[in-house]
Amino acid sequence: MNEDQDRIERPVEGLERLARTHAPQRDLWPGIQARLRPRRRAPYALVQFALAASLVAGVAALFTLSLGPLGTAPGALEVASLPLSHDSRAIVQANLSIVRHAERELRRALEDNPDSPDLRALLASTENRQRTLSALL
Amino acid sequence: MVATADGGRWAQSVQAGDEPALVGRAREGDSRAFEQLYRRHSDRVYGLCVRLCHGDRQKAEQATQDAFVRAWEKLDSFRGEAQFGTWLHRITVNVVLGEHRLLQRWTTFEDAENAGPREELAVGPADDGLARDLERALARLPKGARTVLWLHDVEGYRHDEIAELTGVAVGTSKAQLHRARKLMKEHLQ
Repeated sequence: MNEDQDRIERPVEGLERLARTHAPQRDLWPGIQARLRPRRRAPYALVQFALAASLVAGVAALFTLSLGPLGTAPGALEVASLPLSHDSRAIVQANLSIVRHAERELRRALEDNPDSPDLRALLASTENRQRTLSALL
Repeated sequence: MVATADGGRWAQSVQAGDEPALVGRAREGDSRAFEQLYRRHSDRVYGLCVRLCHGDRQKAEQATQDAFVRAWEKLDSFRGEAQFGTWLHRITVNVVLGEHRLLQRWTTFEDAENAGPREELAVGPADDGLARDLERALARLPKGARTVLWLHDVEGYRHDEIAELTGVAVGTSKAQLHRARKLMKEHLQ
């Protein structure tokens, strides 16, 4: 690279001294505010509701699949008196852990949205499932 | 109009204190928190818009409003990995130059060097002979070259960032910068 070329490739001296901030001549906020659409809050309760619902559904599905014939019959969770194999016990414990997590999340969600019938129903279902799983162990 | 060249000190001052909390509240829908963010950043965003709109203050006002509205709409995508001001700056560049492919148009179709003077910008504290000369030389550049020069050499964007935000090719950005520096140096001689 010759000297001229090198000179061209260098930044222009002093550019950084030019103004980068300018105050608008009028307040632009009212125009902005008028265009702001209400943000759809993703309330904690709804997020956790979705999470918990998916977890409980997942547990139910996994449990059914894992225990095979036991899980396919009506009242399949009334199996507390049956001995579980080592593998099945591990599956039940893993699912119990998931359900407990879902329950904690649902309780937190209910703190944000205590009147939600859906959340309450899901919590009841989760507690029930937790009792059933616990009874299996 | 008040103008400062001290972008660095500005960046520090607006980042102080409760900005993450304001962003969090705004993300939850609190427009008053967002207004505080606007108050902190409006001079910087407007200053950028004035540059990107080549001194047209009416367009710059509109662009500033567009940028803040867009920021509001995209707040959920702000993860806090960069400073809010940096994120907002990129949104502004994209809104002004990218959405309407303005830079792409300027670098493709409006390549002629500006003959007439544009409205001169106030140069604030750096209001000296060199600053005035620089403003005049800038005003004579083609829009595309001037924009790339400003984004790269003053605002610190890399060529790949300019390309990503505006839709021009990296090579185009490099070529425009080379041209801008060459013309600037000719005008300043």
